[in-house]
Amino acid sequence: MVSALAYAEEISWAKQLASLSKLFGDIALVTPLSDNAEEASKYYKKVYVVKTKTFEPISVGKAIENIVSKEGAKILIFPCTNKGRMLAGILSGKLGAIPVTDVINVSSSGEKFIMTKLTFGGNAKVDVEVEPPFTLCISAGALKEAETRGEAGEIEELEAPEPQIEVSFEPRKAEGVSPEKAEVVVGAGRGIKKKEDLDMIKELAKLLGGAWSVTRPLAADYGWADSWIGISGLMISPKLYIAVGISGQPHHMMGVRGSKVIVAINNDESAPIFEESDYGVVGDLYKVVPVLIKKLKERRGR
Amino acid sequence: MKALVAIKLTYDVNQIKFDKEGNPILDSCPKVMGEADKCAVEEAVRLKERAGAEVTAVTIGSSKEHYRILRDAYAMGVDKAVIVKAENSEKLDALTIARILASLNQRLGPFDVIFVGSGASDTHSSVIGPMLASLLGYKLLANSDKISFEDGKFKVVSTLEDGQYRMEASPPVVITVTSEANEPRIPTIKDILRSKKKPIEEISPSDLGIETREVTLRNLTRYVVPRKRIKIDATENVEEAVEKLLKMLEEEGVI
Amino acid sequence: MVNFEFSEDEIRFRDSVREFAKRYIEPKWVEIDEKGRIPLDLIKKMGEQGLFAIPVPEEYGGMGGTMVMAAIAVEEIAYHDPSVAVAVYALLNNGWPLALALFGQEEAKMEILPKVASGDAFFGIASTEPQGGSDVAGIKTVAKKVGDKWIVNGEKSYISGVREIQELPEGGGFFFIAKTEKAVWSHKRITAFALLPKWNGKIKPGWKPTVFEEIGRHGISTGGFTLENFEIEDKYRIGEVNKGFYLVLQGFNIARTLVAAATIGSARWALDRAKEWLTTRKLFQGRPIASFEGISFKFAELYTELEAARYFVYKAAWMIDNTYLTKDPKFKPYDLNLPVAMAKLKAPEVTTRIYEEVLKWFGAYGYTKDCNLYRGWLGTFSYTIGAEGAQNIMRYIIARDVLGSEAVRNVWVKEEE
Repeated sequence: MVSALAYAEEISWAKQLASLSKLFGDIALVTPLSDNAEEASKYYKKVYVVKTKTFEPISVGKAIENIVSKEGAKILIFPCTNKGRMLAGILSGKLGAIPVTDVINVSSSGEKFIMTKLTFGGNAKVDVEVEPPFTLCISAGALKEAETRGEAGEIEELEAPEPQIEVSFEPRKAEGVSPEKAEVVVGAGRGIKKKEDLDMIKELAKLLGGAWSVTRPLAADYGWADSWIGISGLMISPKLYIAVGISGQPHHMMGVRGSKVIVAINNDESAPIFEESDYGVVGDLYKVVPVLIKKLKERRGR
Repeated sequence: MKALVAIKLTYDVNQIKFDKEGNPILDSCPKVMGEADKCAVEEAVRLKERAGAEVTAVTIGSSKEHYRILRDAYAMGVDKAVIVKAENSEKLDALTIARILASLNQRLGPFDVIFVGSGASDTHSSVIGPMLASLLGYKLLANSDKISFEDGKFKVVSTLEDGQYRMEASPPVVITVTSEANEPRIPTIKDILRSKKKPIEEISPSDLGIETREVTLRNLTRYVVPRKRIKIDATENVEEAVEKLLKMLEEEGVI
Repeated sequence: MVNFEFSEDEIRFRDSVREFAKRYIEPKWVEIDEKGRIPLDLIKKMGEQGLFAIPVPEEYGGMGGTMVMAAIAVEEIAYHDPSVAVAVYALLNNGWPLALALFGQEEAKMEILPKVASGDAFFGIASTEPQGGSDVAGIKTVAKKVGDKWIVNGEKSYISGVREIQELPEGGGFFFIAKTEKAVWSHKRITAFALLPKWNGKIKPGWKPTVFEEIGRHGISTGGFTLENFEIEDKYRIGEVNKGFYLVLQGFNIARTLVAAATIGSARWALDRAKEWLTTRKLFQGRPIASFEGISFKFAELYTELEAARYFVYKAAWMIDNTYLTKDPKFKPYDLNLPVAMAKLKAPEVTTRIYEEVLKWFGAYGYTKDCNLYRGWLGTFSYTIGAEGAQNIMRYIIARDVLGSEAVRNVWVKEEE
């Protein structure tokens, strides 16, 4: 019997969510990927591998519901990703639980818990008091990875029920590392004038051993990329995020706040992104980025 | 075919100001129908135009602006508008909101399709749609960027973190609509003037048998991740500026 | 006491025009000014959105709205096209169709107005001639009645829309004035017509247009045309014979109010740009420019004057609504002369002064084409020079209305009949 269930598809998320066992007691992990299971079992009392052909939230939700009944858990923890929010919503409906999303901090207060969550496009935070049953969606980068437990947890495999809808999946064309997993990410915004100019962004990302992505307008409006960083897209928390030609609108910044270090390159001194960066380079990106690439190559050469 | 579209009155996040202590000044912040909600209304009206659906718009609240966004939904072309008059709508927890919307299915429906914005412009928790599907036992087509209705089935494309999902489902279904799904029509002056006279049905949560539960919120303050905010001037000597940057990043240990 | 607020519908309408202008006009305004034309598909879109013939009654294909709404629309469009070309296109196709709806014959209204509302035809004003604009009583173009037609000979200059009429599928024309039978200097010998040089897709014989090159507001054309034995059917006559002077002046009151709305929309854009510049540009060791009182005090003055001009505009628009578009008129047409003249005197002048100051604050950058401020400056300057009514004529009207026409009259010659 565990008091909480966590869901994660990435091993880094699994390690982060496990750290909540300090507050909630033993947690069992639910994950779709059997590759993760062994590594994850070092952090959880029990790991359930839920096998599906393709991700379909209602059927995955049913599988989680069955596990909840079995384990008697009253707390469910999800990553604050699109999938996480869907599952949190579904399970909240099923269990009559209150959902709290965009959580950046959890603390206990007697029988209850206090969640600090982000709101208003990430510009504000507020404390919410809840008692079980509840579901949580944790913001990227909010938690540190847990320590391994003494003994490896039990692994159990089960099948998710058949989806009631038809679903087919096409994975994102993986151009190297994906931004959510990368340690360094370079983002391009509307300061970039032509699609071809993204080549220097890709080169910079490659030199730093990381991934590249864009802000929503470059993907959704111009069609220069399939995915983007922002609250309706990818949420990232790399060690280093370099924002090139990005002004810093809330929609985008919500997706990168979990980054350890943020560097901004923008020629508009008053751009909001400078308030949220550690290092702000005020200048023309078309001059700065090539020099940056040149110097990184020189350093590599050494 | 009957369609329901649920809309939320949200703060315009781009116009939120904060006072000296860092608390948001909410009273003077303009309120609007969010972008994703406008797209949801647009999808519902397109379904009406293409497949003859009857569209009902609903919001939960009691202020003048709540009535205004329902009139805006009329101006976009919905057939009926309903307001669930809850005085404290801003404080209701998400479960209560989902339960209210779910109970409307019995009272005004049953609906073949329920459109919801995939995330509110201000809070963006994105949980209402999935909760609704779960409470009603409806199928869920979430985060839909492209929606069509053919041969009695809804077909959607959804772009998530890992790739693209194509889903198909026959009604009854809950569809959550992203702000990339379409360009919502702009009501003309005639649409706006006509919408003034349209009726808005008023229901209270107690009519629906729902006990409203408020969530306890405290310490609403500005959130700024503490950052170093070191500025490097690269307008004159780019080489020097980049050198400075790289040294600092090397010291941080991120490269 | 008056209510100083927009109604909920007026706010919703303003927001809808703002959304339209942000989506379709703002991204294109620089190109429109640079290339010197408004794309025809944008004009059509504006028609579909219901931005033309706003105050024209629905029975004639208009939007059944008000002048206040027309002013709101023109102001918002001008904010998103500070060169005011698109705003002027819109104001002409709101103001003069209203004049036609008020004074024209039923058949002509039913024939012309729906096509203007849909964006397929243009309807502006043709009153100015090469020898004079302000001297309306001095026009020399003559219309002679022959059977049930009028034969027109003469010339008009500095007319907006001459090129657009040729390019629009339907065509269009103007609220047009000419002397009846003979060209004597007189207020009592002018007849008004709907002149349609291109109609049903065909250019009528006897109309020879030319287009001028102006220094600003390039998106809408200014041109002239000669009329040689041009035929106008009597059904297109607007109002009674020899009463045209009084009708065109009423039309000018309507159009001038919208002109004032356009200039303040453009001025508001300039002040918003200034606001951002003055608060974020830092000099002399990190001081924002606004911290210099020589600059912030000037900004305060100009902001105040712009607000004052706005009140003039909307008061005039409201009075026009309460003269013509209500079952219970509060005012008579001549009551509008003073408030409209004040709005049209104030608004363009404040706008020009705002642009001058803002350009100075922007310094060398403001002097570049890249900055785009100059486009708003030159575009709106045409209204300080005095399109749709010279500034000194506005002063004359105000002086005459307040000091009395006996003391102030400037007609020293006995009028011929």
